[in-house]
Parts: sequence; structure tokens; C-alpha cells
Amino acid sequence: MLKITSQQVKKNRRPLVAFLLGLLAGFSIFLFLFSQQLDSLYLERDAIYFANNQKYKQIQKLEQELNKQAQWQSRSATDQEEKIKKISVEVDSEQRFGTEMIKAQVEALLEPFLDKSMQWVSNNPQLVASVLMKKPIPINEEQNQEVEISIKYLTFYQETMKVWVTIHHPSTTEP
Amino acid sequence: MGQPFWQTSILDFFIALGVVLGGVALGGMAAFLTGDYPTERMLRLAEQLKIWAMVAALGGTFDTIRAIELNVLGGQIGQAGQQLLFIVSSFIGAHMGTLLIRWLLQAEV
Repeated sequence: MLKITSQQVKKNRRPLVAFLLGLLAGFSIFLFLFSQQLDSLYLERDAIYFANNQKYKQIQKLEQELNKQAQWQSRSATDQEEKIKKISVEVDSEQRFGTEMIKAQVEALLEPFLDKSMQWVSNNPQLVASVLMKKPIPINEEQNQEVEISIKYLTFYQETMKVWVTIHHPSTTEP
Repeated sequence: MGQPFWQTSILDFFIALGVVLGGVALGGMAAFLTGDYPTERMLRLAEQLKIWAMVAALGGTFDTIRAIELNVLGGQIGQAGQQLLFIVSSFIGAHMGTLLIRWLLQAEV
């Protein structure tokens, strides 16, 4: 084991100081000779750090975009799978009675749309309209009264197709 | 009288030169150890240390300026001129140090 005592240090003070001064002198000469190369190396390092940082930011941005895209895709996939499970009918009419009957009949007429893709029906609303168009709906069997209906609004929300219909009396609607 | 004047002038010159050269060399080492650009730091130090090298060589500008003032007011223009020459000598030493650094590093700030 190398053991340095204070006595040894005192004894070799001059060589030690000379060694340290030599070290400083050598370092200085090295710096004067090679400082420009060192500078260019430092510059290169900084440029690499900067490029690395930029790439890291780009990667983060791409990851965010990827997540957003994945979310959007999964949402659109679920939308595609969404089917009509319930049909709800709202009647827009001035008459207070008979609307429940009309609702029931319209629901019966629209039954074929159950279990159909929501997106498909929403993209082709004229199908729903054509089913109901010019179809006389009896509201009073005893008096043999009939009405015609037309679609006012059509909404799709959480597996429910909601249909707002307007009632026309054949006598009044026909010119 | 002539010998002390020349001795002091040369002393001032070399002190100023040594302050610049030593300061720049050790400052460059510090820059290298701290991850700074050595050349740029050394050149800047050479410029910044110039005035302090003169101050260090003269032993404090305040005393020199006071001596100039006293000599001028006392009518000893020769003494005042000597003080001015000491300042010039230290300036030349400091400036030479800066020039040497620039030539060695082959760069400009």
C-alpha cells in the first residue's frame, strides 16, 4: 500500500510544486494548440444535442398524433357497429287525441329498420321517408278516418332512432 | 534615477503581460473543465483582463492618478510624465499579451 505522510510531502515539496506547475504548463500548451479542435468538438456536440432534442420533440408529436388517430379509428369502428335497437316516434300534431295510435303504427311501419346500421340509415334518410310517404294511417276505425304523415326530423342517438312526424289530413293536404 | 524608471517600466510591462497570459491560460483550463468553448472563452478573457492587467501592474490606478495630480500641481512635470509612461508601459504589456493570445489561437472574438 502506498502511504504518503506529511513528512514525505514536506520533503518533496519542490518536486510536487514543479509537477503541478508542469501540469498547468502542459495543460496551457495543450489548450493553446488544440483549443480550436476542442471548440469544434463542443460545437458538434451542441449541434447533436439540438438535433436529438428536435427528434425527441418530433417523436412525441408523432406519438400524440398516433394516439389521436387510434382513438378516432376505434370510435369510428364502434360507430360502424352501432345498430338501431329502438325506434321512438314523436308526433307533431294539433289534434290531441289519436297520437298514440299513430305512434304505434309508425313504429310498426319502421320495424324493418331495427338492427340495421345507424350509419347506413342516417346516410340514407330518404329510405325512412319513403316508407312513410303517402301511407294512409287509420286513426279511428269506427269513423274510418285516415291521415298521412311525413317526416319532420330524424335523429340517431345511442342505438335509438327518433322520428318526428307531421300529420296531414288527406282532405286538407290535397289541393 | 534612470535605472529605477526603466526597471519599473519593464516590471509593469511584464506584470501586465503575465496577468493576461496567466489569466487566459488558467481561464481556458476552467472553461475546458466546465464544458465551455475554450477558444472563445480565452479570447474574451484576453480582452477583459487587459484593463485589470494594467491595474495590477501599476498597483492600483488610484495611487498613480493621485501621484500624477500631485506632481502636476507641484510643478514636477517630469515625474508626472514618468507615471504616464508607466501606464503606457503596462498598457503595452497587456496589449501584447492579448495580441499573443490572438496569434496563438489564430482567431478573433
